[in-house]
Amino acid sequence: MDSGDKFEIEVDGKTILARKGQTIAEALLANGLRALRTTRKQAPRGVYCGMGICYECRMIVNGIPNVRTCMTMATPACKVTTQDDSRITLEK
Amino acid sequence: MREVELIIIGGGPAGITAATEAAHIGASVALIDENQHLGGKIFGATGNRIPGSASDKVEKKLRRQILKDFDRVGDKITVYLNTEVWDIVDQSMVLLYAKEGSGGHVKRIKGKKLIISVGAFEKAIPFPGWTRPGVFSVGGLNTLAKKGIVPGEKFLLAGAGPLQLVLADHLIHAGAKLSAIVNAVSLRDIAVSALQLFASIDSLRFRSGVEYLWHIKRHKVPIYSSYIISKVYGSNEVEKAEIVRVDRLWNPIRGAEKEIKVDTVAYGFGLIPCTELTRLCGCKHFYDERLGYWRVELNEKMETTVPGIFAAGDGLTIKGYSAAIEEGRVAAIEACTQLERVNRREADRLLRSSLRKLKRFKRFGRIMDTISSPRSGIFNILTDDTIVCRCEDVTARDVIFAVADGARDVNDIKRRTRLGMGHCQGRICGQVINELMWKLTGIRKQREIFTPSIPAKPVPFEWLAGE
Repeated sequence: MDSGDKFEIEVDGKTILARKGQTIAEALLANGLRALRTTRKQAPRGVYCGMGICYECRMIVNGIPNVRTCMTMATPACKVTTQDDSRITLEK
Repeated sequence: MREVELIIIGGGPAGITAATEAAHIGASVALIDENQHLGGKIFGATGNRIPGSASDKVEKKLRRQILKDFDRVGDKITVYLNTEVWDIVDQSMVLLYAKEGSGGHVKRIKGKKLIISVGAFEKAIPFPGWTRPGVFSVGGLNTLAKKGIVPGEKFLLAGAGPLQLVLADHLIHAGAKLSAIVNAVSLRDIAVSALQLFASIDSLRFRSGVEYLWHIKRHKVPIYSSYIISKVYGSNEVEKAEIVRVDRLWNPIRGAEKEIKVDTVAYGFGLIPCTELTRLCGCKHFYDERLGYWRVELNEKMETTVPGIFAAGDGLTIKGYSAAIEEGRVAAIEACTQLERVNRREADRLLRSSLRKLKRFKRFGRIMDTISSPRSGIFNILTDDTIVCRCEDVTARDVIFAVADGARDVNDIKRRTRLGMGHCQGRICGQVINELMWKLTGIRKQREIFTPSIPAKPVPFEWLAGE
């Protein structure tokens, strides 16, 4: 594909390529990243419903926790971090 | 606070059409959607990269037409994207949450009439291991496949319903390797519904169905009918799946298990309507045993039992976008009639063709829902450790203890276990809690539903401050 519609995003300090029109979740999955969050019991979770209902794909996006990555478009230079629910004490 | 004549919640095919129609008639309209774009799940997807089937092409054409019609009157519609509705008070005041980064600041809109067209989501029954990364809903994986994203090496499709075939077709086009299609419905039941479909003369859908099956057959994907997925294994993500043959009531047959080495699973049993908002408004709902879901009670003009509140689209019953468009149109025209933007006689004239078309769509939905609706035996695949509520990590064992402690209704189980209290607000676990309770108590009592609670979607405290 033309490289013009590709850009970089940062995931846990590493760089991956996203494509214009992709949600963050889609960009991660296209790069083989499926475990996006760990629950309070330290179980890994990833995208399940893909349509904003199940809230399983929540990650920390640009410092904001609990962002549904399946509903949020990837943008150039956005920073995504795997979310550990046991370390998010206050809903923010 | 903003004021408009008509508020529409949900910008899918039904909501877009309703907004277009109402704006065309002359009403002031606010259209709210939680996504970053209009169109919903079907018409919102952009960047599709695989060749589509006959029905994909029809879908595309319709999508273009609807958005074009919308753009023509779009300047009369205020659109709130990236915005969630977390409460509705006094039947007409809609409380909003503009998500982070959306730039929105409007917290409430007052309307005279309300159309709720929030669509549907996928039906799921818990099974051991289903929370592992690599297990997707059928619809979720379908959206990915359409964009050419293949999030695994070897795929297994399990559950029931026509969407499974659509997904199989899209995955093959996207270059995925399908290890198996596992369908809980028996071949006999599939054949019967295919005949019914043919009889209902829905030639497009019938043709697409044949096209999908042919594509799957050509790629020699093994199909297991009367099988369900009973387990996925793996240290973290999915590494292996177990399937098991079921009887007519979907009871697993011991000794008829089979292991399949896959790393990705799509799982679902068709769609069910989102009813949180209509329930929050106090509209009357009833459980449709045949379709297997709760639905809102409506008159033929799409008005709920609360005067002035209408509903349209797959949030009512699952019939697909063509029906949703007509329902959106009917709801908008009727709302505009009540707003005295159009007189009764003219409205009846405008409504005639849509009402006629809607009768036909009903049949398709009925056939599809009936074959994909889960049967009671499937609940026997749950083990004590199976997570029932994904958000709060509540297992079947937790529910067993709650029932042993005396919990006798679903809201009581919720209070005791936190099941249904997490981020998704019981949308997933709420589908199975009745069956689970009946199984544990041995008493099949009347079906219950969680009491609707606010916020309907999680809202940060900062946003509420000053409200």
